[in-house]
Parts: sequence; C-alpha cells; structure tokens
Amino acid sequence: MTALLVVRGGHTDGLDRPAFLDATCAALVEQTRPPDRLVVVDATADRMMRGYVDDHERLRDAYPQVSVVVVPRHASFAAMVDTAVDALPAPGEDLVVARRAGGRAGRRPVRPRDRTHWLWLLHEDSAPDPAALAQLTAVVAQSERVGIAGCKVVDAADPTLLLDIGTDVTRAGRHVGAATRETDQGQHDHRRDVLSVSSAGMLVRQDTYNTLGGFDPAFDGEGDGLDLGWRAHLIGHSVVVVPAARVRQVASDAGRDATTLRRHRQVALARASLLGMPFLAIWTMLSSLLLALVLLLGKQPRRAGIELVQAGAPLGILRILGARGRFFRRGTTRRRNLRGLFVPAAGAVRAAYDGLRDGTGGRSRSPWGSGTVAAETGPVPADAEELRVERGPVARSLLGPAGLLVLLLAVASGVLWRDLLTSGALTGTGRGLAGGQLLPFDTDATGIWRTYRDAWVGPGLGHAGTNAPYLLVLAPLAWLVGLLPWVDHDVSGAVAVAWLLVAAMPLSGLVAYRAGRAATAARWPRVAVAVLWATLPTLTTAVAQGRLGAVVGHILLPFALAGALAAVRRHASGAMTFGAVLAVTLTGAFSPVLLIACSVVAFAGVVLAPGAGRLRALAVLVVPWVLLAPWTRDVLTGDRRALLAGPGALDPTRGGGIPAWELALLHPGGAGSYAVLAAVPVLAIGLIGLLRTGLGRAGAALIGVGLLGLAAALAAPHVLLAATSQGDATPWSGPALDVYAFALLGAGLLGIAGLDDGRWRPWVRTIAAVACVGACVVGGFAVWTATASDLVPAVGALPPVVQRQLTTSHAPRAILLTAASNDAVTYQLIGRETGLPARDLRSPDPSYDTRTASTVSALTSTGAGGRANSSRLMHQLAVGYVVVRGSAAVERLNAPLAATAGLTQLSGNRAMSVWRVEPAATAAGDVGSSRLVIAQGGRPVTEIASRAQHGRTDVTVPAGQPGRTLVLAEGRGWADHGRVTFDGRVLSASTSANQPTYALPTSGGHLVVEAGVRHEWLAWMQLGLLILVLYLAIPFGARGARAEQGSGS
Amino acid sequence: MKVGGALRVLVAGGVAAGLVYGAGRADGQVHLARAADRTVVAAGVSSALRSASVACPGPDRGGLHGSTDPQAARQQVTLLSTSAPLGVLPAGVRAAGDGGASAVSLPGAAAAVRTTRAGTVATLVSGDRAIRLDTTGGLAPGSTSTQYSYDSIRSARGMSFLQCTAAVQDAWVLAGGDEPGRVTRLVLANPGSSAITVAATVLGSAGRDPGSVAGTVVAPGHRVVLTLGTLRSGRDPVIHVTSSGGPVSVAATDVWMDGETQIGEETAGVSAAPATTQVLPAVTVLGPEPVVRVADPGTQDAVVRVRATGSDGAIATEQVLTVPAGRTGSIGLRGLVPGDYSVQVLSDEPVVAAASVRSTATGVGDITWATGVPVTRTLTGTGLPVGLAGGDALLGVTATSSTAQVVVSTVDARGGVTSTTRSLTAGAPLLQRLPAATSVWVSVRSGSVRAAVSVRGKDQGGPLFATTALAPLPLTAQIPAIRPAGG
Repeated sequence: MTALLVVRGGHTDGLDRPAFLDATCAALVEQTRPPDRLVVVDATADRMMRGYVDDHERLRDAYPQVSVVVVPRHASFAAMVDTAVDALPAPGEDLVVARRAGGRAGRRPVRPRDRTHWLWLLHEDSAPDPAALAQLTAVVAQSERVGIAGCKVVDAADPTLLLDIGTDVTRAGRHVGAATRETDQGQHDHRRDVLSVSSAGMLVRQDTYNTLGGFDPAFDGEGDGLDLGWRAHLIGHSVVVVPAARVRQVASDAGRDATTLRRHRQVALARASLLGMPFLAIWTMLSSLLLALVLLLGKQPRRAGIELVQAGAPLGILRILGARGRFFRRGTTRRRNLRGLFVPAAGAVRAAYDGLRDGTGGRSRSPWGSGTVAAETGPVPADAEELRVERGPVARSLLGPAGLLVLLLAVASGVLWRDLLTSGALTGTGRGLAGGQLLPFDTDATGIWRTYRDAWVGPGLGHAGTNAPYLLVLAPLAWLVGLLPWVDHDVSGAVAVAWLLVAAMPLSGLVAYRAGRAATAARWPRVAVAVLWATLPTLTTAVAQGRLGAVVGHILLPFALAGALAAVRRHASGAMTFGAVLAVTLTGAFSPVLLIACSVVAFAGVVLAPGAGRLRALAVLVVPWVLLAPWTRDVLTGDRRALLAGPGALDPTRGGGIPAWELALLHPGGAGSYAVLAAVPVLAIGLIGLLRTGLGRAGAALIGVGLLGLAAALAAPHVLLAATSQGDATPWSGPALDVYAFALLGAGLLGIAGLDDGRWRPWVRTIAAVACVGACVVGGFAVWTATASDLVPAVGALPPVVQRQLTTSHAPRAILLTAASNDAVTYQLIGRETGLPARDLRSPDPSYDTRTASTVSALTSTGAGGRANSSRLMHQLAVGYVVVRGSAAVERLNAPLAATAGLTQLSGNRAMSVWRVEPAATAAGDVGSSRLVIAQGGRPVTEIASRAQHGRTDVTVPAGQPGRTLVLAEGRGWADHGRVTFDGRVLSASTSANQPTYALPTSGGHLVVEAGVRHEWLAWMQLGLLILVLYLAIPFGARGARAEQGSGS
Repeated sequence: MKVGGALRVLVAGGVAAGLVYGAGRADGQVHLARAADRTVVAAGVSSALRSASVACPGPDRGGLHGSTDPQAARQQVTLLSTSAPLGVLPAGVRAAGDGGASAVSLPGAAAAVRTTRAGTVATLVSGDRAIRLDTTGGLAPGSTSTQYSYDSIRSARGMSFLQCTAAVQDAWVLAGGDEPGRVTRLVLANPGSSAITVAATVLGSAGRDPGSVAGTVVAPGHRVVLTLGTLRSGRDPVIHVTSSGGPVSVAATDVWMDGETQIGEETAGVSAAPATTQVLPAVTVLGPEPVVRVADPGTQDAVVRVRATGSDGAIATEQVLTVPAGRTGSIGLRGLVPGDYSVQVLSDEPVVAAASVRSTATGVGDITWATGVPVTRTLTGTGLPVGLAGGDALLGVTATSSTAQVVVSTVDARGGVTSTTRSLTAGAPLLQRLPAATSVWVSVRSGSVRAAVSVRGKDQGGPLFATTALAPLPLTAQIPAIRPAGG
C-alpha cells in the first residue's frame, strides 16, 4: 500500500505553503491503518516538500521513509500521478522527474505483486478520516474484482455537505449531479458499485493501474477519474465507493465546472461503442442545446451556458478519437454489462426538471425545501404559478376551487349560448359568428398576420395598413384552431373569435380567481368574486353584442389592474412586474380604454409608490405603450380618437338611453342585459370591503380606480367619437364599468384579507360559503335571463361557387349588391382579403372607394349615360362576379344587370342572382378579370397570376411589345406602399394613372409584386422587447424576492 | 368595521352619488366625430334618359329554308322609328343636346338611323335578323320603334304591327292555335353581348306541352326562330319564355292557313305579366266574335270574368270562364257587334290574357292579337304606318286608376302636332280613331292608363288589321342611391 500525496501548491496560506496540507498530513498520520509507504509528489513552486517533510516530525515519525518525487509544476494531477507511479522510487529515495516520457495510457507490464499492491491517491487538500484507509482496505479485500475504490468526499468547511459519493452520469455522460452539495445524512451510504469515484482518496490496485496504463492524457485535469473508472469497468474490474471512508476536501476544488462536464461527455463518447458514437454525439449536441434553451427561458443563464458548453463536446473529436485509439481493443467486457451503472434517461429528465424548478439548483432543493403551501406571488400567469406546487398543475387545476370554478362557468356559458350550442358556429364546423359588432373574418392565421403586418391591407381595393395590435394575439389562436381537423382552415380566424367569445366567461372567472391572490389567499371568497366577475352584465352584453375588445379586456383586466397595483408594492418581484406589463399590454391591445385606466394607475404609482415601487410602476406605465409601438406612434401622431375605440368598442346607440343609476349598477344596456338589481350584491361587497379596509393604501387606490371607472362610464355617452352609418357613435361604457366593478370586487376581497386566522375564521368560512352560493345564484340568474344575443351563425355572403373563385390564381373580386331599407342599394367589393374581426373607428366603410362607387352606379342605373363602360370599369376592379342578394334587390337590379353588356347570368332565383363578368375580348384573345394584367395601349392583353393578397406575385413574364404596362386592380394608394421589381430592378408607378400602373420592359423577366411591410424596424424592436418582457415575466429564477413578496402580500 | 373605513365609504359613496346625479342632469356633448367618418352615400338620381334600347324581332321568315313558297323568305318588315314631340315630354326630361339613334342588326353591324325629334323614319328590314335600336343623348327620352309588315303571298297574308320593347328575362306570349295549317314562329333575339339560354314552355288547355323547348342557346347578337308545330297540350297555346344569362327579345308570328286559304297573320309581342287584371284596350271587331285566351300560370284555378266595354262606357258583353291551374282556356265574346272595344279580364288569380280577332269568319282574311297591356304612368306612343289603303288607326286607352287625365297628341305628315286632353274614368275607355297621323302619343297627366293601337287597312283580299300594345316609354334614367355595406 503506497499513498501518493500530490502537492501542487497554488493555494497558499500565510506560511507560504499549500493550504490544508497540514490537515492532510495530520490525517495521514492519524490513519488507523496507515499506508505502507508515503510518496509525496511535489509540484510546488519552490520544491518545498522535502523540507516540509523533514520539518514535520509527526509525519516523519509515522512514515520514516517518505519519498519525494519532484514533478513539473504545471502538469495535471493525473500526469503527476502517472509520473510518480512510473518513477516510483525506492523507500526513502527522492527523485526529480524533469519531463515525463510519452506512452501514457498504454498497457504496462504487470508483475504478480501488483495484484496485491494498492495506490492511494491523495490531494494536498483532501484530508481522509482516520479510519478511511482501513475502511477502504476492508472492502477491497472482500473481492478480487475490485480494481478501484473511492471515498465519500465531503466539504472540508462543512463536513455535512456531500461533494462526491461516486460519479453519476448517464450513458451520454450527462452529469446529473446527484449528491452534489446535498446534506449528508447517510442517504447514500448504501451505494457500492459505481461507474467511477473521485480521485481524492482513490484506491487503485497496481495491476489495474498498469493494465490501464494510468490516466488517459486526453482527460487530464477534468474527467480523468471518470475515464479511469470507466476503463477499469471495461477491462473487467469493478469500481466501488466506500461511504464509510470519508475524505474532506476543499469544496472549490471539487466543483464540477463546465469544462469538467464537457469532458465527461467526451469520456462517454470515447468509451461508447464505435457504432453508437455518432448517434451519441448527435444526441449530446441536441439534448444539451434544448436544455440550454429551456434553462435560458427558466432564467438560469449560467446553467444554460454550461449546457451550451456540453453541447460542444462532440467538437473535441481529436481528443475523443485519441482516447479511443489508446484503448483500442483493450476492453475485455461487453459495454452492456455497464448498463446498471448509468443513470437512466428518466432520472436525467427528472434531474433536469428539478434543476429548472430549483432555479439556481442550490441547497434549496431539499426534500422539504419546496413547501406544500405555495407562496403568494401576486397576479402571474396561472401555469407559472402552478409549477411550484406539490400537486401537478393539471391535477391542481382540476381538483381545486379553480377547476370547480371553470366547470361552473363553462356550464353557465353553455346556458348563455344555449340557442347556438349545437350550431356550426360554436362547434367549429361553420364560419363563426356574425351580427352585432362582428364583421366577416373568413381568414386564417396567415391572413391575420398579413393584415397586421402589411402596408396595404383590407377588403375591397384595400387601404393603407390597419393598426390593430390585437391581431398578433388572434393569429396564433387562429393557427391553433386551424389545426383541428373539423375546422375549415380558411375560416379559422372567425372560429377563433367565436370560441374566444364563448370561452370568455370561464376564462374571465379563472383570471379573476388567480388575480384575487393579490388581495387574499383565501380561496372560496375568491371563487365567489370570480363568479360575480364572470357574470357581470358588462361581459354578458359585450359577448351578446360581439364586442371583441371589451370581452378580452374583461378577461384580462383583473391581471392587468391587479398587477399594476401590486407592482408598486415595496417587495414586488421583477417577474410580477413584467407579468403585469404583459397583462396591461394584452389588455390594451384589445381595449385601449383599459390601457389608459391601467396607465393612470401606474402613473399614480410613479408619483406615490414607495422605494423601488416607483421604478416598477414606471415600467408598467411605459413598457406597454412601447410594446404596442406601431399603434402607439400612429395613435399619438394621428387619430387620437383611437384611444377611446378598439374592436367593437363603439356604441352607435350613444348609450342607448340607459339612465346614470343603471350605469352605476354596472349595466351598460343592450343585448345580453339582465335585471339591473342583480348587480346590487357586487356593490354591497365593495362597500362592505371598504368598511373593513379602513384607511389603508390599497383601499384608497381601489376607491380611486372605482371612481375613475364610474366617471368614465358616465361620461362615455356624452362623447360623440365617430360618425357611422347608424349615426354618431360614442365609446361603449362597458370597459369603464369593468374598471369600476374591479374596484368594488377588489375592495371586497381586501376586506376578507387577514380574517382567515384567529377568531374570525369560522365567520369567514360561513360568509365565504354563503357568498359562493349567492354568487352562483346571481350568475345563474344572469345567464338564464340575459336578453337575446345579436350574434347568429355566420353565413358566407357569396355563393360557394363564387367564393371559391376569389382565391384562384387571378383572384377576381365580386360585387355584392343588396337592397337597403331606405331604397338605396348597398354594395360591397369582396376579394380574397378580409378586414378586421369587429367594427372599429376606421371600419364603417370597408368597401368604399370612388372607383367602386362609380362602377356600382353605372351597373345599377337604368337609362343613364356611361353604362356602356360598366364592363371596363369592372375589369379595372378585377370584378369577376356580381351577386345580387335579397328578393328586393333581385327585383330591382336584375333588369339593369341584364342590360349590362359583358354580364352573363349564371344563376338566378327570387332570393339571389349571380352574374359573371365576361372576359374582355382583345386582339390577343380574351382577358378575364384579374388583379394583375399586362396592358398594351391601355387595353389588357394578358392576365398575370397572383399568389396572395393584394396582387402579390412572383412570376416570370415573357417578352412583349414596347409600351406594355403592368396594371394592378388595387386602390390608388397601393403604389405608395407596394413594390414592383422586374429582374431585380424596382419599377416606378405611373403618376397619371388612376390605378397602380408600371411600365414593363419589352424583354422577358422575373416579376415580383409585393404589397410592402409597415413599420419594419418598429416591428423588430417590438418583437425584441416582447421577448425580453416575456423572459422577465417568467416566474423562474431568483425565488427569494418572490417568496419575500408573497409574505408581503 | 373601522371608523376610517366608514368615513371612506361615506366619502366615496358621496362622490359616486354626485357623479351619477351630475351625469343624469348633464346633457352636454363632446363632438369628436369627423365628416370623413361618415359613410359615403351617393344619393339616388333621376335625370333625363340618356340611353335606351329596344329590340324588334325582324322578319320571322327571313331565314326560312325549304318553303314551297319562293316568296316566303323574301319577307320585308318596316321599322317605324319615332320620338315624341318635345311638347309632349314632361318638362324635366326635355334634354338639351343632340342625340342619335342606331339600328344594330342581330346579327350584323350597326347603322345610323336618321331620326329627329317628332319625326318618324321608316327602315326596311329583310333577311334573317332582328334589329336592336339604340337611342342616346337627347333623343333617348320618348323614342320608340314599331315593326310593321304587310304580307300577301301564297303562304301568308295579313298585316302585323308590333311595338318593339326592351328585352326581358320572363315573357308570356299568346299566339297560335291547334288548328291544322296554323304555324307559330317564335322569334328569340339576343340583343346582349353574352350568350343566353332560352326555354319556351307551351301551356295548353291540357297543361304543359311535352314538346316545349327546354333550352336553346342564343348567341350574343343573334336570333333564333323556333317553329311551334303540332301541339300536344290541347287547345289555346300560351308560350312562356324564360331566359338565363341575359334578357331576350321575344315575338311570335301566328300564320294561319286553311289549306290554300289565308286566314291571317299577326306578330304578337310580350303580354303583360300575370296579374288579376288584364286590359286589352283596343279590340276591333269587324265581324266574328273575338276569342279571349287566358292562361293561369299559378297553382290555383282562376275564375275569370271577361268584359267588353264600348267607347260609351256601356258593357257590351260579359263572360265568365274558369281556367284550371297551370292551363289555358278561351272564351268567345258573344254578342258583340262590329266596333271598337276595350276588353277587361278580371280574375281571382294572376293570369295572362289576349284576344284574337278574325276579320272574317270564313275565307281569306286577317287575324290580330290584342294582348294584355302594361300600365303607363307617364308617356307612351308609337309611330303609325302611313298610306294604309282605306284604313286608319285606333287608339284605345283605358284608365287603370279610377280616373285619369291624358293628353293624346298626334303628329301629322308635316310635323304638326295636335293634342287633346281627355279625362277618363275606369269604366269608360277612350277609343279614338286616328286618321292621317304618323305617330300618336299618350301623355298621362294624372292617374295611370293602359293603351294600345290597332291599325286597319284593306287590299284586294279584304280587310287587314293588326294590334300592338303600347308599353310605357322610359323618360328618365334611374341611378339608385348607393352606399357601401358594412357601415
């Protein structure tokens, strides 16, 4: 038995010698079963070990014939050991090895006595317990197979902390970190066979060492121990850990840094089978990259960086191949025999998940560290919250009050929608809903995205870009809906809107329940309040009238306002602040009025909040406006009335004559209303809550918010915001009433806060039970007695045969003519494009255009001059079909249409007639209605196919005659936004034409027509900021602040 | 409860109550709406007509092949293009500026027609073609064309007189019969620029004729002549023409030969749409009793009362007829002495009706069809053939409203206009002979009327006569109010 004590220096104390050396030497002296000889490997700067040994009386007494081998200073631990073992001097001799010869890791001769000779490797900072070697020798004596034995390594500073008790890696070399920095309570003392052990206190049999050729130089410094153990297994020896043998080591030296972990992966690649190595390399790379991404999202950039380093492990291919080469054909056992030594894949996944949950992965991951009661975190997304509870998120959602709440409100929603429950509009097989404030929205996610992004959008001939940030939310929803097999992909947008309206009640209840945690942790009072919130007349009327913005605003407002209020508190977390920012932004995207309300609250926070709360309030005040940047810019520099509008936010009835006291009782009126007095409980809850809250800041804040909402609701009918065909419209008072209702219900919850303990507890429970039942009764009454909805299942405006034609390559349009009640003819120019899902400030005239109006005038007139031009006008608009709908319209318009040259009736009955615009006959042949045509001398000669909305195309055009032009059947403003290139050269639009016209060269070439992208750099900025805010809003990472905040709520 | 809380509730409640009270009393408004928000509504416009188009069937035998009569295909018709004198037109539609007229041959090219205001131009048309007459500009209001023909060949003899009308998509034509030697040629002209498909369903006393034409395509700017031969649906055929893809101009020429004896010939136009009241304002009885043919296109049997009224307002005869649903029937107006009558057909179900009149009961003669006439509320009129040997024209005007006031104007060969104001009552028709007039115009001052013109003449074979309904002439262009949907 030879102990090899490697002394490298580097850690020096005031005595100019390696720190901890004294302790290690003392431990060697105190061994109950001391090694037969001691060899000190001296790699110190000043070769001081001989002097040290000579001065150390106890050491000299215990080991009279200490040999000192002086090795090069900067060699690795493994290289030093190899050097010392190779040059092992006779007892008492000293040796200086200037440079080690090559040939490491090669097989060396094994002498018979090597089978019984052991090498005990010690670092200068690893002090074994007195019985360590005795325990080790006792274990290795039991089996001849044991080639390597290791100690339990604990922290020298805190011996209750485990540093190593055998290395746990997966087959891919992923270090799962079991036992690392755990409190040692003997929980791992049952371990025996392991893949490898720490080199601190490692006992290696000499013949094993010689057979392996010592450490492989490829893994010097990092991974050497793992590689040695792995190879020992491959030559048929076992590696055991002896928990009873303990070594105390300086922790900083034992930590596994990124390089070590990367080397472990390379060890795995070097020791894997030749066939499996490429697959293992790919898996290593992909799995590490994925985990790095997840960790990054989980706000653990340091660990993500470590994963990224590991992902690069296969890149060290020379190192891996070198190690493989040196061990080529030397393995004597099958690799599958090692299977039991690896951590299974499930264990790796679990370890990764645990690491994610634990944030920094430090000591907090003790079994009882994650308490059974989740700390309050304020209004953050429910999913994120649930990650921290003991029960799984799904189980908790289904079994807790939240699940019951959602179930109840889903039933209530079913009752509210009972008339349409089985219609295609709700099952997804139809085309969504129509009526009220909703507009046709037959489009898919791509169409919605284009409507948001493009510079020239909209139905009819189009118009300059629509600034509707909420489309960014609807697009992914439509995409998800479109994935369902029974939903018509082309109308997934309309179905998504319909489902959003249907799901509004359960969603708003759930959000209110979660947001209520900002006020109280008591669950059943929150359930009662959530039921009341979800059945408020502001929601039932908004849903029944198709007020999309108000509905989504109602869903999100509790998160937004509660977040804005909670973010200003002294101990609010960053995640919560940015969660509030996100909620406010989303709310504002759908309902600008509510954005203003939240901003007012945040502004008050900036002025009044204590400490860092001002900064957080500033974030809630400013960031949402920046996130909505294109919209913000347009609104602030353009039509500021949009601040009071939004999708479905206009009220042409100008308040509908609802008296002020009904508004004070939260009733905005119109379809979906129910008995006014049913909202009295909400008022009562608010007032009682205010009585209880005393003079606290929260109560004052809610009073301010409530009065702000009430005042805005009362003022709304007096603001004539926009003129519509139904008269001047005012802002709808619903969103303002939502703010008012939020304050009332919030005050009620604040009143409950703090009563859940002590003598009030039975009372609180009784009141909560009564409140829940009462809220359910009120909610049931509301949904059962709510007046009929304005919404009906949507039907296509055009016959399917015409509708299908609109998306063909030439993308013709159709003119839909109907008879209005006042003897007028209404017209609509319908193409493949769609507009916004609900009426807004700018959507009274989606089809209006002077050219369209002139065409319709010519088409519907009788006996007027200019009728002969009808066909030409229709071709200029790319109109391929004229559809007359309604018996009155058919009766009136069939005659003029029949007398219109170039129109052929395809079908006709009393309710509808369909006419086709005949192709224009030219010398070059017939030219049909098409968005893009090439004209010669002003006359179309050929159509060009377009592949997407508003004339986009990418085609090759053959050579033609001089003077030919490309004419787009789009609005005149298209040329200001769109871009036409021919063989990469940008063409300029003719300024004299009344529709976009571009002179084309005579040669053939590649024609690209694009409608342009609006706010490109702003959009990128917006995206970047959104990602950052999302990242900051994720409630992972630093838990301390969140726990602290929870206690503060 | 805390004192601070109560105080706070009082203050907050007070402020809220104040807000509600204030809002209840306030009636001020903040106007932020902009004019640009408003839906752009183009108001309806009614102005002088600037464009009008009618179609005349042309010679029905123009393209006839294989006839034993070599003269049959050499048929000629005369188009009388005329326009009302300015004085007859309502003040609002006396459009300034020149206008023009052109005759477009279907098939064929367009040729200008030298029509002047109040003048009548006769154009001879022959061959297998119909004619579309377009008038534009200042000439469009009050212009009309009428097709006149006189045949006296071995295989046909008679006079035809038919006002050209705008093409329609649904038409009822009453002509023809099941007698041996009686042939009906249905002329279908497509004045439009796209092909149309025309169905001609023949109803008879036994219902729908199985030989009806389910669909024949008429190319744009062309015409098709269908010969309706043996009927298998009983007596009294009535033809229902429907068109898809565009309107069609319809006329039916009824040629009746009894062996070698020419019973007569008439070209009948489109009858007024099914209604419970049909009026045949000008029925000239020369001898044989007129036979009124009625078709009930509905699903209920129609009880029809047919009444003939003389110019003095006295009811000359009144007959009752029941017509089964979806079938036709006829009734002779017994007891009428020769003279001019207005015939009213009153029914409890919508029906179409026309009266056929023979000039003589036996031997060579002529027939005419007086069809149901649409209501005129402003102006109607027609050019008249000049030089009718021993003949004249009869204007029949029957008030549709209880009373009506009309101005009857005639234009003589020198352009002189003679106007007479006549007040009519529902029971007393105006039946006025029009000697030596080149055109006649009925301008309605009040109420509404139905009008028709019957012309008569004579040749060596005996009397000739023909009748046309007078359709109201469009005077104004109608541009309806339009507004974009979705607002």
